[in-house]
Amino acid sequence: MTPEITLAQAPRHVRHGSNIGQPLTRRDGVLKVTGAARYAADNHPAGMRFWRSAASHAVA
Amino acid sequence: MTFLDVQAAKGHPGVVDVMTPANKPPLALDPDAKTNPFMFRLDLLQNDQVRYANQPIAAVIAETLEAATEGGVLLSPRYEVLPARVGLDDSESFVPPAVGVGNPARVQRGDVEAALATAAIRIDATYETPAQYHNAMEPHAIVAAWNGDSLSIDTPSQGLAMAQGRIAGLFGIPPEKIHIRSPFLGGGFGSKGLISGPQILGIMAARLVGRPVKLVLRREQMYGPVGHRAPTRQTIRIGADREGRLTAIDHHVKTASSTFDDFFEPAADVSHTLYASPAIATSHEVVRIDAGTPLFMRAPGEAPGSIALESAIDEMAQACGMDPLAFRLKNYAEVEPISGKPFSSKALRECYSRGAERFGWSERPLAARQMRDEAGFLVGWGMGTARFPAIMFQAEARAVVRGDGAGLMETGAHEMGQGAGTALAQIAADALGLDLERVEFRTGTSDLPDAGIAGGSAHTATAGMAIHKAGAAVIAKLAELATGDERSPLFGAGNAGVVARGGRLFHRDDERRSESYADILGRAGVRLIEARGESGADPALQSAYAMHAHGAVFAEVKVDPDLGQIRATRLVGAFAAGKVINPRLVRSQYYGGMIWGVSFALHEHAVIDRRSGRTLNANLADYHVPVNADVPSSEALMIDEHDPHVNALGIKGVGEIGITGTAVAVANAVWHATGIRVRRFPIRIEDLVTPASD
Repeated sequence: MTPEITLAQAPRHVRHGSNIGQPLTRRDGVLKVTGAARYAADNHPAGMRFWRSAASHAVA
Repeated sequence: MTFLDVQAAKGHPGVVDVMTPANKPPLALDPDAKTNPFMFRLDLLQNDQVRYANQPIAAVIAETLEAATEGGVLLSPRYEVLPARVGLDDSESFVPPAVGVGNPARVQRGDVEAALATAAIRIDATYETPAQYHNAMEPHAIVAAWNGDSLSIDTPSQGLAMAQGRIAGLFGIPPEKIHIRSPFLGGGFGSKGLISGPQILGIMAARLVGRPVKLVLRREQMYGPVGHRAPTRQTIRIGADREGRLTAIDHHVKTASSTFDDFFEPAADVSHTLYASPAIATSHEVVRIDAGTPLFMRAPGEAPGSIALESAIDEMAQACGMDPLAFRLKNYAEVEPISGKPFSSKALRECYSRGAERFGWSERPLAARQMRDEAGFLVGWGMGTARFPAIMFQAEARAVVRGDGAGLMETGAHEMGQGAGTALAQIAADALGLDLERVEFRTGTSDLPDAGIAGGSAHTATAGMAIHKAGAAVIAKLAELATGDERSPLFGAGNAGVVARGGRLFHRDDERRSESYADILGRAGVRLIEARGESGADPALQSAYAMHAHGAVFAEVKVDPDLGQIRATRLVGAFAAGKVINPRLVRSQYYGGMIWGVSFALHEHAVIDRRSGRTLNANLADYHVPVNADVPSSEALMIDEHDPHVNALGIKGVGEIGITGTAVAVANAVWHATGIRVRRFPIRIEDLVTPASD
């Protein structure tokens, strides 16, 4: 049997629906399509060195 | 590894240093230590042992990328070569203590053997799925800079707080000394859920040379140290009575982990939930192979498990002479079969009926090889059931209402391209009772409250509920200020007697009585008010209800009868996953999952060289994923579902469910087109050309 459970209700003074449920476009869309969004590899702190890993290679 | 020409690499112009096991900076924690199930062993140049192909063995740090690359070539490593263990038959299998994250390896309800022995109709079939790699567009990358004992990092992460904690442990510094920025990920799919070894090596390299260091993995280097989906071999035995009612499901999985760590794909667990069989048994056995440790990859367990179970269900429907949809409806689970718990909500019937109607399923001939298109291609229609658990992790958020009435919401969430930054901002705006433009949503860095891991399709529910509660808490404070002040039109309304909307509090019973946030704060002389909210799964609800998202996917394929070439031509998915925060983003998640399902059925396959243990197609030219021409006309229907139990917002999760159901719908459609049941994935041309065509 299912024990008595209180439904997980929202607090009374919050109204839903004005933003939730809207098919908004991505807020970062313009940044991304213009190339302005900064991904990790786009960062170049002063004095930066490059790193190249040597991974295990096949051996003949 | 017996030799590394460090001198040659160091002598190359522009090379600053070479990091090897001999000179790596000391760590505070053994990378092979494992103190919790979410901690995975890392290859951080512990020693000269090479455990798998593409394991990092050294790092060359240089003034330019070109010099670093050339230095890496000059290292010319030599090895003492040991035989490679690959595949599922190269070593002794064993029963793991747990699969996935703490799931029991064996589960049984009822007497499966007895039920199978007396079943009128039986299916006994074995399905194989290959190793697969996440292949996010953005490779794992890190820019690391030390400033004394403080560490500044740019790196993509699906779990900022966990990454911060892991780095803190490895380097023996307090987590608050580590600042990680991860505003955007170019995809993760689970491979960026836990910080990987190469990312840590970037931090070690920065420490070694005392300068900021950037590392970006090459595509081929992602086939090893950053996780993958393990191969499976799944044996499914199903029994049914003469009326087509299931009497037993036995789902056995053999899978693989690395030689040095434990992640076992929980593929059999899908059989716990989908069909009302009185007897169900699931079990896993595993082998250890010379590969990087497999990890969470979009729909871990569910993706390979569902393609096997739902193929077997289709085979049983065929054996019973029943329509695959009618068979599934006949065995519809009204309660979760393995646990007997009621579902918190389950609109799967509506998914079946709406999806079938949209697809035109009722026109489907029962037998295979009945349909041709105008060009003479064989046409087949197949379906599959989609399901993914509704999970919640723990998260925290901080909400602020400023003196001018604008809002701020902070939580370190993860924008992976799925649109978390948009959907969570929508939740934040509603939680604060503000228009979206009046809310600043700060996210994507480790100094913000922990938004929980963006995995398990749980991010919107987890971070969303923390945001929802933080917003509710700050609005409650605002309401207290207003309703306790006799100069306010809301005086005496009581805390629960007001509604927040559009930057104002309204009297619940008389909306003519209202006051703006700015006026409430201004009169009280308060510059800003803030509150925090926390989310997490409710153990009482979790133990009372089975919580899952469901769906049904219908697929059409066309097969060239002479050449065996397969094209998926049409997909219709119908999904019920509780509250939809943003239908545009959710549809996009469904499409992404459905295309991945096509990929699973027809394209993806890491080919392993049995001699060397290396992945032969470790690049995006040879590791096939669908390109635009492979993507069929697709539709994703969102089925309304109100779930009062999963969380107060009613959100389940949509990130992974699309793969389940789709992969097998394509496979079942291939059977329907050709009459050939292929049980090894991906389905290849050569699987379909052997029998003579008519």
